[in-house]
Amino acid sequence: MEDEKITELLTNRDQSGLAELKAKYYRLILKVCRGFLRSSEDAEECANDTLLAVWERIPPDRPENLTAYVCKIARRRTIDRLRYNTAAIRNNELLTELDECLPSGYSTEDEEEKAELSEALNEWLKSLDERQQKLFTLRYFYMRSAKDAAKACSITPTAATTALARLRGSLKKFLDERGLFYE
Amino acid sequence: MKEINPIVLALNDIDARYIVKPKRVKRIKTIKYALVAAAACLTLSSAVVAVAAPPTGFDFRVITPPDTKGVNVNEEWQFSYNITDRKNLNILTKDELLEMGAEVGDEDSIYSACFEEALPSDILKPFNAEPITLGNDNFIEQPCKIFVTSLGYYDGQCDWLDFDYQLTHKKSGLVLRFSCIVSIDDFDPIVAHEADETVDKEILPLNDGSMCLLLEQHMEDGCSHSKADFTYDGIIYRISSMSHSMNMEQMKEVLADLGVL
Repeated sequence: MEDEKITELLTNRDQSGLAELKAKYYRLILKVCRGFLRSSEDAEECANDTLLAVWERIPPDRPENLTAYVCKIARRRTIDRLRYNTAAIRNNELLTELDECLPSGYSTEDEEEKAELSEALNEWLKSLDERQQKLFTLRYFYMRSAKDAAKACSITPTAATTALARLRGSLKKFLDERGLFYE
Repeated sequence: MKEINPIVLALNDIDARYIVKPKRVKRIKTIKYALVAAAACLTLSSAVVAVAAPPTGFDFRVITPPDTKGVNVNEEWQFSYNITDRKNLNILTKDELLEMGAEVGDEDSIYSACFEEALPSDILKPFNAEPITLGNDNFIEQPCKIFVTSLGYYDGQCDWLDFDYQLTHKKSGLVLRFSCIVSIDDFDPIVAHEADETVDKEILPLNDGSMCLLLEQHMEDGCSHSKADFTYDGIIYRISSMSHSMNMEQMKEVLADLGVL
């Protein structure tokens, strides 16, 4: 079913909208959750929480891009879960990878700083070509493994690893130039 | 306590246009079925369609007419590289690389050695990787940044070695970036997929019966960027221009001077 139709059903509080949402997006949501969480049980719970959250938020929300909307909620739910599990954070290689761009110790409690960082990320992503954007978001937004991201981009895992390392270097430089990187 | 990286959090607020729905990873078999279906569709819809038979020893499918000098072709271009074992490959230890002057990454799973200023042949020879660029007088070596990358290098799970370096084409003076991928124990074909309609594509037969995919992207300022992808003697090559502008014809001259045309 088309995204627009699903949104319309959800807006009208029609429960078949939730079923359609689940049919179309559950696998993707689960994949996003599994990207962060090692435990399948936790991932499935987060995926179900995500579906419920979408149901609760539409209406009043009326997302233009349902995929992005659903994935963002899934990420937030998963990150919330991760916060309760410090060992999972410590063992998460993705988080360690990004530490080279901006250390985890850097505080983003301030809303203004958070917005500044998001704005900088958008600006940086805009400067990349489509393939680089895809590779970066597959790895760090969807939390795919480097091997999976490589396959989805039709490149070898080594080429993906090299490209990702360069992208992190480029992001670090970009953030540094804007004074957002503190050693 | 380790906190979640702020970039991971900030990624939640990126513009939705960057969050495309990821395609599911296709298996080779699925793609082969898709190619058969695509070929059938083309046969039905166009009289000019000719599906090229895969050359011997090269798992390759062309699903658009091979003589299409593709200017913004709409069809999907898919093919796979055929990689072979290179038994004489010498996998250097971390200590050996450090002795050669590499900066070696600390991560266990991702291996990356970077040589800041080195001559490609000085790095490639100890590996016995033997790409076709080694000792080729049509290309000039100058000290450049060289990357040698792989996955799982230290734990014995190394699948690939990717050598990334630069050479200058003597005739044209064009600076070229070479990525040579040598397989160690993973010989599954890699399927490449080029569907970008803004890129010109051409399939070029090489002198060993294999094929090369040539791409040319036109920039807004009138310049072009060209790329050549092919497998030769079991090694995957990806050549691209570092210079401001390079068209397909210039790339063909490079391929001829490499001795593959």
